[in-house]
Amino acid sequence: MSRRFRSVAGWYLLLIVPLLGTIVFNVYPLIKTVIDSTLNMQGHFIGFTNYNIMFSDPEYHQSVGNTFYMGILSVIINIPLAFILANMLNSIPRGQNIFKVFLILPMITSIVTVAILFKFIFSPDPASMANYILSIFHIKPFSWFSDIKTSRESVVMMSVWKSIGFNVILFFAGLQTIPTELYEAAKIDGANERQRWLYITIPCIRNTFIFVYLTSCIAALKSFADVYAVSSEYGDPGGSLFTIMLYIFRKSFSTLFSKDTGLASAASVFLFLLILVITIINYLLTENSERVRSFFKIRRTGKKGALEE
Amino acid sequence: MKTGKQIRRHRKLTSSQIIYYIVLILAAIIVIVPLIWMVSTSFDRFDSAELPNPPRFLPANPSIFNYFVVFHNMNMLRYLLNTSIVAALSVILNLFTASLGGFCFSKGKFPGKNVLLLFVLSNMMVPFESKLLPVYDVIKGLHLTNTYLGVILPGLMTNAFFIFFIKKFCDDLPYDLYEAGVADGASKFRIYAQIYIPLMGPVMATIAILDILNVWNDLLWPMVVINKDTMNTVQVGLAIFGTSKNMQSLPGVSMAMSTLSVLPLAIVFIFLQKYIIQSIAATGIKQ
Repeated sequence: MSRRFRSVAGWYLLLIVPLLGTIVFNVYPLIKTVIDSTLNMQGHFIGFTNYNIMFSDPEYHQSVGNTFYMGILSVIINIPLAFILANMLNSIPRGQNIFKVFLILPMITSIVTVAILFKFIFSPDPASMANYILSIFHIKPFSWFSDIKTSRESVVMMSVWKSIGFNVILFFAGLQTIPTELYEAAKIDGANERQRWLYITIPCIRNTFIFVYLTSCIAALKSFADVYAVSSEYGDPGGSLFTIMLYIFRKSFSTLFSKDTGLASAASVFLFLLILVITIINYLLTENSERVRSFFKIRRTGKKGALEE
Repeated sequence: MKTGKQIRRHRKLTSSQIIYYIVLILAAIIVIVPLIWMVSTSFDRFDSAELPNPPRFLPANPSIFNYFVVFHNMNMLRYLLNTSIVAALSVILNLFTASLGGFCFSKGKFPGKNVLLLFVLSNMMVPFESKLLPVYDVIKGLHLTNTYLGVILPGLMTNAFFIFFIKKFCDDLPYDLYEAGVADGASKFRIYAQIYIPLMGPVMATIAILDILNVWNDLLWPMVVINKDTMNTVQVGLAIFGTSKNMQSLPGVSMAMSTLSVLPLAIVFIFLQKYIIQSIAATGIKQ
């Protein structure tokens, strides 16, 4: 009995770091954030007042609008483009690796470096690279990041440039798992290239699609580093780059704007709920995907292990 | 099973394949041109704040003046050192805790294993961004602000994804090895360290790569936890410089700093690109 007890205690001891970490850095912060969101700056309970203030705060409206606008735009551009490029990459006989290396290069470059680089490429100066290329086609120079009308689109272009390779690699890995027998059978049945693409390729990588789509959505909701690196915590020009995370950051840590931990916590809780909804949709949609199957396999084999004892 | 890769290997290029090549080359050029411009501008000496018109891709006055300015006037070397220490610490500790956790959840037999695993995996459900303030309070309470440990601790102790990934890998390793170890009288830790660790090579490499990419390029958390210039990581230092007013007037110096910030990872990338691409494809993780 004591031997068995020692054995069990040993396992718990070996798991002390992740268990403690989950309590200190996950459970406690989560509860603290929810509690904080119902307190005012003096620590008095004020119910849902913070949420009311937040939802009627024009700054918050602006941040949600910007986050969704940039998120939707980048998903609409990024995913189809990455899918098309991955298909092309999958169809060429030689040189796949070298293209993959080129496309993945921006991913090892941090978003801060990319932002500094693109501030020069997208500089309002007519001599900047982007404006120079436009001038070849006789298009008037843009102000890119500095103009309220183009700043959000410019940030989206920058983040697409940075993350396209990542999505191409994911789609390519998905395409590689489709057995060629399917294509050969379809060819024998007289399906043309377009039909094979539509009826074999797309259904077979449906799960990759959903995964890429939802991780992109979550990344877009949390977008912080790209806008911060371009415009610091101001979200300028004209607040057009002001995102939800920037709102939380400003209300939590800003030295330039008025802080309000209650509002920051309320915004954090709402962001968490948004992401939770997306994650749940992810699990429901990919019910028969590898990821979830392995997730539930743990539980099954785990139970079997418990029975064996 | 043959995969898509072999499908059309021994044929002549079709017309659509030629179009694919053209599009892919175009995409590769769009990706690579800004990076080439970054490196070339960093070696170019500018006497005015004006960008050259048309943009040039070979330095007109090749010099290392910009790097000289960066090393003399900015703490760039210090930032690089800080980030290297943070990255090295984070990788070592993550490999240790994640492999130990994965091993326990895979081979351990104790009551409540599934509940505890789900409990640990709950870290993956809560985005770090939505608990920024309380986590900062905890780190502050432990007096770890402005320390290397403070930068890595929250990520390290909530590395549920790595644990899960190692657990999945460990599930495929035979349980007999564990029993053989027990029969020989080895402790659990010794079985983990001497029998299972040597078998986890590939999955450990994946985790090391992903962790380096994450830690090196992280901005938000280091910025929150560090407010002393000599402790800044590369990304924080670069972000402060990049959002300052005079950055736009110093293209050469900015690009020298940017190049330096990318250089260490680029060197790693050159040697490990195959594994990096595999790791990303296998896990789908993104900073």
